[in-house]
This record gives sequence, C-alpha cells and structure tokens, in this order.
Amino acid sequence: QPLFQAVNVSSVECVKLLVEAGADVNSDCISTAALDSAMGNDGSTECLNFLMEAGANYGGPNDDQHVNKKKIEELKTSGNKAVDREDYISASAFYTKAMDLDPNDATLFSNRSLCWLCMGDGKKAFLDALECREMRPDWPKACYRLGAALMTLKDFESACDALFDGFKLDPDNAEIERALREAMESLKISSKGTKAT
Amino acid sequence: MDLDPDDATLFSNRSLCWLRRGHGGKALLDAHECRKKQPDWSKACYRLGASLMSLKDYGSACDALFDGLKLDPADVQIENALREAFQNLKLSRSTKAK
Repeated sequence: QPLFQAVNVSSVECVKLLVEAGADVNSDCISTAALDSAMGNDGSTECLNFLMEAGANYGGPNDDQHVNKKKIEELKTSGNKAVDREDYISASAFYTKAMDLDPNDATLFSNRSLCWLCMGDGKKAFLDALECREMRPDWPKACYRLGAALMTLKDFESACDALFDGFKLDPDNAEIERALREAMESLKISSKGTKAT
Repeated sequence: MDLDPDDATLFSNRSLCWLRRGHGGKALLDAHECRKKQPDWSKACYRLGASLMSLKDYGSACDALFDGLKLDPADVQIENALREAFQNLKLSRSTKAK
C-alpha cells in the first residue's frame, strides 16, 4: 500500500506521484488523511485536499465521526493488548492517542493511570486518576485508581478517603476493600511514626 | 450537664448510658451534640458511630467511624467498630440486591 504509507507520513509529493501513476484514491488512505487532518496535521490536510480533487469519495463530517469511532476502538484495543503483555509505555501512547480523539472517555484516563502507576510515575497516575474521578464521580473504579495513585505518593489519608468513597459505592468489591484496609493500615503506621518522633 | 452545658465529655458519657439502656435515638442526639462541641475528638466520632449502628444506619456509621479513625488511626476500638460497620454495610447492601 504505497499510497497509504505516503499519506501516513504526510508526504504530499509522494501522494501526487502515486496518484499520477494510477494509484486508487479510494483506498483506506482517505480515512488516515482525514483523521490526521482532523488532528491538526497540515501535511495531511494537503494530502486530503489533493485526494479529494483527484476524485476520492469522502463523506465528510458523518463519515469522519464513524472513522473516529472505529479508530478509537482500535487504539483502545491496542492499548489493552499492550497492558496484557506489560508494555505500559506503548499502552500509554495508544491511550493518549485515543484521548486526542475522544477527550471525554473516563476509561482511557483510568487505563492510562494504571500505566503510569506500573511505570512508577505516581504523580502522572494521580493526575489521570483525578481527571477520571471528576468525569465519573460515581464510578468505583475511579475511586480505586485515585486511591492507588495516592498510596504511591504516600498521601495515606487522602488515599483512605478515595478508597472509602469507592467502598461505599461498591461494598462488595473485594479489591477496593482490600486496598482500603491497606491504606488504613498505612495511615496507622505513619501516624505512629509521627507521634514517636 | 445543667451546670456545665459545654462539657463534651458529659454528652459523650450520657450517650453511652442511653446506648446501654437501648435508647438509640437519645444516644444519637447526645453523640451529635458531643461531636459538635468537640469536632476533633475521636471519641465523639466513636459515640456517634455506635449510636448509628444501634439504629442500623450503617452508611452514616461508617462515615462517623471513618472520621474517628482518621483523627486517631491507632485507636483499636474505633478500628474494630469500623470493621463491624463495613461488614454490616455489605450485608445490608446484599439484602437490597435480593
């Protein structure tokens, strides 16, 4: 798919040469150009304009929305698979790209928070978890992510608060209950340490 | 208490008395008053939690006891009471689920 590759790297000259050589302008490349163009890539915008002038069939806003939805799902799936093989760097990159297309999806912030946590970046994990919690205040998983991030930052009292909220939302969630007990235990230990000093 | 209405410990102690005699509602009122007078006293949270437990308001009991535990994380009495409140909250939720 030379035309697809050319569009993918936003090479207007290559696209023009390939089209002149008879490449099919109605292949997948139109979606890629539209997607990248929507993300502010000037080169892709030129490619898109050229392809449409060359007779490409492009549906516009509705089609664009459909393309985005499919792309988001693909990125999500790729991210989840990367998590499964513990490739958190790639996973976070996939989730970040999906967020660019859909900044209102709380599950993406939740998943990326997990990635930061596993990569040892407690602060970024906290920021993503906080965003997730704000988007979906009544989602127990958001409380869990926030609590886990706060634990790595050793803010045990705030971790207790977040996990306690999660427990009240879903008292049967064993994972949250266990995390809450750990947080309370950590609070107790740190409290003793403080008093002893 | 008539002589010194600002003494939180009197409300705390009387709350315990009401509780022991099975008057959960009165125990709650005294516990609330105690908490109001000394918000940072973990024992006040404990009294409030115990009263709420007797009235089977497990959600609010969890809140009160949780506040108490944060004030004094080393208080085993509060910790045990909170654990019991957690258990009851779970049971009451599963009851609703059925």
